[in-house]
Amino acid sequence: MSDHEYFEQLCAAGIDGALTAAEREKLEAHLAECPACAALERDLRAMQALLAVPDEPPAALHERIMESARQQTRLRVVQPEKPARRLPVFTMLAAAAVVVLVVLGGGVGQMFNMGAGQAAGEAAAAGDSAAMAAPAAGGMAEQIERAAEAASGETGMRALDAGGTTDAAKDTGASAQAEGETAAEAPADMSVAAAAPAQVQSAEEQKAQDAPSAVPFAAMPAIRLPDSLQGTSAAHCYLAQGAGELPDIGGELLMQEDGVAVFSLTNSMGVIEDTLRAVEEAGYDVSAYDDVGLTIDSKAEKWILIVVSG
Amino acid sequence: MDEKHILAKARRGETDAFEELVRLYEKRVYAVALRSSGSPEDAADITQEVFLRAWRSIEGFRGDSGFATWLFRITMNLCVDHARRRQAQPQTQPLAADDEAERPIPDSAPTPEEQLENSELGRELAAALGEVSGEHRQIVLLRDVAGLSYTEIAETLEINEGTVKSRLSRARLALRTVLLRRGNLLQRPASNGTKGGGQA
Repeated sequence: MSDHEYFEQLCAAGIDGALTAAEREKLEAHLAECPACAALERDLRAMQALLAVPDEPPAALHERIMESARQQTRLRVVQPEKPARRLPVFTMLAAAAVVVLVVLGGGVGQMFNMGAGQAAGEAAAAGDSAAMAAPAAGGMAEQIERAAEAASGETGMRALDAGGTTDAAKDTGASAQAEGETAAEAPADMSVAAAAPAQVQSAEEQKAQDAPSAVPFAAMPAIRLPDSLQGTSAAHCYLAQGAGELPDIGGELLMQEDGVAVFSLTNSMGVIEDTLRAVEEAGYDVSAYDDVGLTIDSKAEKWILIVVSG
Repeated sequence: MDEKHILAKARRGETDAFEELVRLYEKRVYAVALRSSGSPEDAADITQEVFLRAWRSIEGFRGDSGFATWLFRITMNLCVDHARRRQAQPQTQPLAADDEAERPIPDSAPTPEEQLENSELGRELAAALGEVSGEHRQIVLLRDVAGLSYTEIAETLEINEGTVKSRLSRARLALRTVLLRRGNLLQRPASNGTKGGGQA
C-alpha cells in the first residue's frame, strides 16, 4: 500500500472517530497539505450523511408486521401440528391425533369428481364419514388402514390395496380396487380418520386448498437415507422429483449420489415455504414422503428434503 | 425497561414485548432493506419477513450474541436472497411515478416532493451500493445505515474489529469511487481547478 493509500484509509476510518491518537495526528498533518485528501474527507462525510437519511417506512408497515406476527401465533394455537399450508394432507397422519374428513357433496372440487356423490351417499349410509384415500406411499396405506379400523371399528368401508392404487392416485375417475363393493371410488389425495374434533377445522381448511399431486406409488424411487439420519427425527420429509437445474437449496447437503440428493434444513415456516416454492418453480414435483425410517416430530429442529433428478 | 428485559419477555411469547422490539428496530431494518433493494415495496416486504422470522425463532434465540446482531444477520440474509432472486428473474424497475401513486400518503410523512427525492436518493444509493462487492456493501449498510457499532459489526459478520475497521475504510473508498463515476450525489470541484458547483 502506498503512502497515499494509507492516508486515504485513515480518512475513511476517521469519519467514525475510530482512529488512535497517533493516527489522528498523522492524518491532521497530512490533511493540512493534501487537497485531494481534504476533498476525500468531505466526500466521505457527505456519503455518510446521505446513507443516514432516515427513510420513513410506509405508515402501514408496523401494522403489517404485527399482524403477521399475531397470525403466526394464532396458527400455532389452532393447528399445533399443522405444517406449511401447501402440505399434502398425508403428513397430518403422522401426528398423534387423526383428522375427521367429512365428505360433503359439492364442496371439494375436482378431487371427488367421480366419487363425490356416491361417496357421500355411502358414507351417510354407513353412518361413518370416512372415505378411503389412495395413499402415495406404501407405508401410508398401512397407517391409514389401521387408523380407520381403530377409529371406526367396522368394515363398512374397505381398505384399499396399496398396490392397486397406482392408477387411482393419478386418475380420480378410476375405481378403487377394493374387495368390497362398498368401497367408493378413491379420491386421489384425501385421507381419513377418526374424530378429533379440535382438528376438524384444519381438515376443512385443507380441503379448501389445492391438493398437490400425489406421487404415483409405482414411480416412487427406493431411497435409503444416509446413516446419520436413520432413526432420527425430522419435522417433515419432502420428496422433490423432476429434471433440470436445481435452485440454491441451502441447508446442509447430507448425501448425493445417483441423482438423489438429501438435504437437511432448518424447521421454520419461512425456510420450508421458500425452499419448496423455489424447488417447484424449478419444475420439480413436491410431495410428502414419510416412509423412510424417520420419526416425524413437528418440534424437531430440522426437516429433510430429498431431491431426485433426471 | 432495558432491551434485555424486553427480549426475555418476547422470548416467552409476549406479543407486546415483541412489538416493543419491532418499534425499536423497524426503521433501521427498513433502511437497510431499502438501500439494499432500492425499492420501497421490496424493502417493506423484506422488513416484514425479517420480523416474522425473528418472531418465529425468538424462543430459540440464545442471547449469545446481541439482539441487534441477530436481527441484522437475518436482515442481511434476506437482502442477499432477495438480490439473488431478482437477478434470476430480471424485472424492470417500477417508475418513480407509479411507486408514489400506489402508496397512500399519511399525514406526518414527507411531502410528495421529498418522498420522490428520498426514494430517488434511495435508488441512487442502492444502485451505487450494487456496484461494489458484496462484502463492501454489507459492511457499509451495517455501519452507516443500520448504525451498528464496530463491535456489533464484528459479531454480525464474525470477523475481528481490526478487520471491520480496514474493510469499512476500503468499502467507503470503493463506494465513493462509484458515486463519483455515476455523478449526481457528491459535490465535485471541476478538475481544472476553477470553482464549479457539482450537482448535489
